[in-house]
Amino acid sequence: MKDVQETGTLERFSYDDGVVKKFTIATIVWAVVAFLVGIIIAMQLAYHPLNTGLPWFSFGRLRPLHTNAAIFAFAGNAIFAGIYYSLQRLCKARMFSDKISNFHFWGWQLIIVSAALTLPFGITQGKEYAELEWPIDIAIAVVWVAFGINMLMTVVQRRVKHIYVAIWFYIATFITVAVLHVVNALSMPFTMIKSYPIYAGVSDALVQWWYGHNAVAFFLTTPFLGLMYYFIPKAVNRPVYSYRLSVVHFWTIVFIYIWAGPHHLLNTSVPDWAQTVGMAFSVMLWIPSWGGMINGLMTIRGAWDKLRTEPIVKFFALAATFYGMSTFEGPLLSIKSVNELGHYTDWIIAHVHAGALGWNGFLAFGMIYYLVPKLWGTELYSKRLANVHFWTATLGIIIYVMAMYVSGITQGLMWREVDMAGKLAYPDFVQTVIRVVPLYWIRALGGVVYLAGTLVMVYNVYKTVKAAPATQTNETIDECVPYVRKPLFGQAGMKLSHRVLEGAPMLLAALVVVMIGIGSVISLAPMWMSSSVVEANYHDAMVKPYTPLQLAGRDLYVREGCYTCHSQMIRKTVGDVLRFGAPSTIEDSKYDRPFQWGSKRIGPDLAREGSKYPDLWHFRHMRNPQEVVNGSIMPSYGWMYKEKINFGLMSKKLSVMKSLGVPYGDEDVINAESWAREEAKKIADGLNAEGAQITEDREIIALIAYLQKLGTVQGVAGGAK
Amino acid sequence: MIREALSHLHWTTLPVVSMLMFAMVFVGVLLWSNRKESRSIYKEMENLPLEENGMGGTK
Repeated sequence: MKDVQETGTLERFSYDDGVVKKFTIATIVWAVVAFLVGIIIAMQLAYHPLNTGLPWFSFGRLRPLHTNAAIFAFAGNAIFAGIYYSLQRLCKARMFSDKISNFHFWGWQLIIVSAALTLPFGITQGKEYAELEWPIDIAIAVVWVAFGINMLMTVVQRRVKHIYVAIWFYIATFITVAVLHVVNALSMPFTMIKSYPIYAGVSDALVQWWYGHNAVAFFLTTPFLGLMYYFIPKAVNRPVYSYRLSVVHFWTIVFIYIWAGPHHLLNTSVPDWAQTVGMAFSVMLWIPSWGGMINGLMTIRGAWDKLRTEPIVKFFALAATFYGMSTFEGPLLSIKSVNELGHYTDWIIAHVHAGALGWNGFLAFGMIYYLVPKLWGTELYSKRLANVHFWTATLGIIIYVMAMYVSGITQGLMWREVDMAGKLAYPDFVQTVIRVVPLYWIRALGGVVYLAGTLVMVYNVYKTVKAAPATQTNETIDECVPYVRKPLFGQAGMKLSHRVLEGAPMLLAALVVVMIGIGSVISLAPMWMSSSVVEANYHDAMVKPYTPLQLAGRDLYVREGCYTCHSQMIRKTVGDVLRFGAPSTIEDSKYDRPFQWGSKRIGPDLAREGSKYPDLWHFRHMRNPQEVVNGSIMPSYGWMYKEKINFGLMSKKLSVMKSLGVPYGDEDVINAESWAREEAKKIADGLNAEGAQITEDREIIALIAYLQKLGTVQGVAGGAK
Repeated sequence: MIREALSHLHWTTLPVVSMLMFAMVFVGVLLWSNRKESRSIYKEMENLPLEENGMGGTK
């Protein structure tokens, strides 16, 4: 390791702006795609015929496309654009390798296109924000590591002495996302496009929400904080309000965030102490989050007049404000009693979109308006249009989140309201659905307004780029007096301690690993305990693995994205138990790969759906939900009555499950196909005897087999409908 | 064996232990960032984004 000192020789060098341009354009393109798909699925909830009956256009398949496009395509490309621009300038160095930069750009776009091609066709792992199947997961890991190497080596080769705090956030982002992605994506493939996670049930839930929560933390928060610490000072031409506060902000947020994952699993069958840790650390997140928000906003001090005149500053100021609002609301929702009301409702959707559209979106838009004129060597085409975009997008967010707050709190209150006799006031779940449908229309309107603002930006950017001078290039020339390195260790004086901790990228990276490692180990401890504590305390003998047909049905449930609307987790709350039956236990999902606890109840919980209704009810309901449940907004799954079950894959599936520890015997694996056919025939015969016309080889038969298995581990009957 | 050992630990104390760990980190970072010589270093660092003087975008 080396320190650096001034040489006195002026050096001239260039920055690679080509890659920044490409990521900037990709950000704009994917923003439009992500918002458009969001509007489509919002409309599908408001008006279910818009599901159209086409399998690849149904809500359950498009919703993961929307979330992946918003997070990894729109926000992801914005992060990379901002990092490639600011990193080079903060380091006074060109990116380590142009080839790696280009590999990163094209690799990332290829991954996004792969997601867009696979998710609508039901090729999914069924884990929220981690839906992509194993070949794409491998590609993500490779491209991400390439990005990290490029970034770290640029920092190592910098010409300046210090590493600005924004770069710390970038480094923490790279390391943590790499760890999260690799650990969560571990799975056992059984075809080229399908795999089962190596974790099951509660273990899978803990790993998934350790990942899911920290995807928000380290993909949608820390990199954007880094961008905030660079672009707000640039926009107002003033240094950050308190650099000291940014140091505290960084270390506390890196240490705390990783612990908070279990707040997604409050009141569930996850051990109580793990829930308490998740809740406590979520509440503690208030401290660094608000420290950062105040730091961002106060950086504008002395330049408040620019809020009136500069749309870029407006976007940044509102982005920081939304960051503060979202990070106030997040910890609030992590308090168990508040979470009991808000979880599974549209309140969470409001919270997420305030963060994504307000914090991530506005910071990205402000950054785009800052970058485009600089990258293309011209002036912004129209400041007025940028202002139109700002106000339109603000209005869109307000309409959106207000509708979802009202909807969410309405849902939460209706789900648990009881009458004087102590019975549910709204026993039919559909009553609570019908009540919020008008709000779904308003939500869709909010999305349309937000997209309209984005299209104004597209036009503005297009006109700006078109006005770029013909001599404009993809490089910026800069010069500075570089510092030469000298041994880091062996120096005397207190400044050395600063150099070690805050000036050496690899040591900084190692410390980040330690910081996130502590929280990760403790957060995931229940997973490692599962085979001792859980199995010792529960009646394993009562838990039987899925039959091959049930397993096939489960795979169809995952394919259709049923978890996007239905939970499979009855919480230990009065409202849940009255409505759905006994609380879910760890053993209920013991063999669930992936777990399907879900995070949203657009429809009712299905944890104890088994045996609640006859097979014929499910048969009719899946074909035409409105025929069975008046007012339902569920789409029809007509294709499952035409598509055939893949019986040929049964043995392979059981074999993979067996290798993951599911107690199938050798004969079960060998006879899986005949076992499944026999069970299917029994169900089909029963249906046909009641007037249905179906053959045993149709997918709907497998799905019914699975639905009838749900929650029957203990033979516990369900609650209300 | 490790799992067996884990199963006998009193995990209910973990939230308290975790809070103490956070308090230690938080206080440690506060002390670190407020050390005497940090003022001049942070003064240099906070101005880094404003120092660029690139001449670019055109030939």
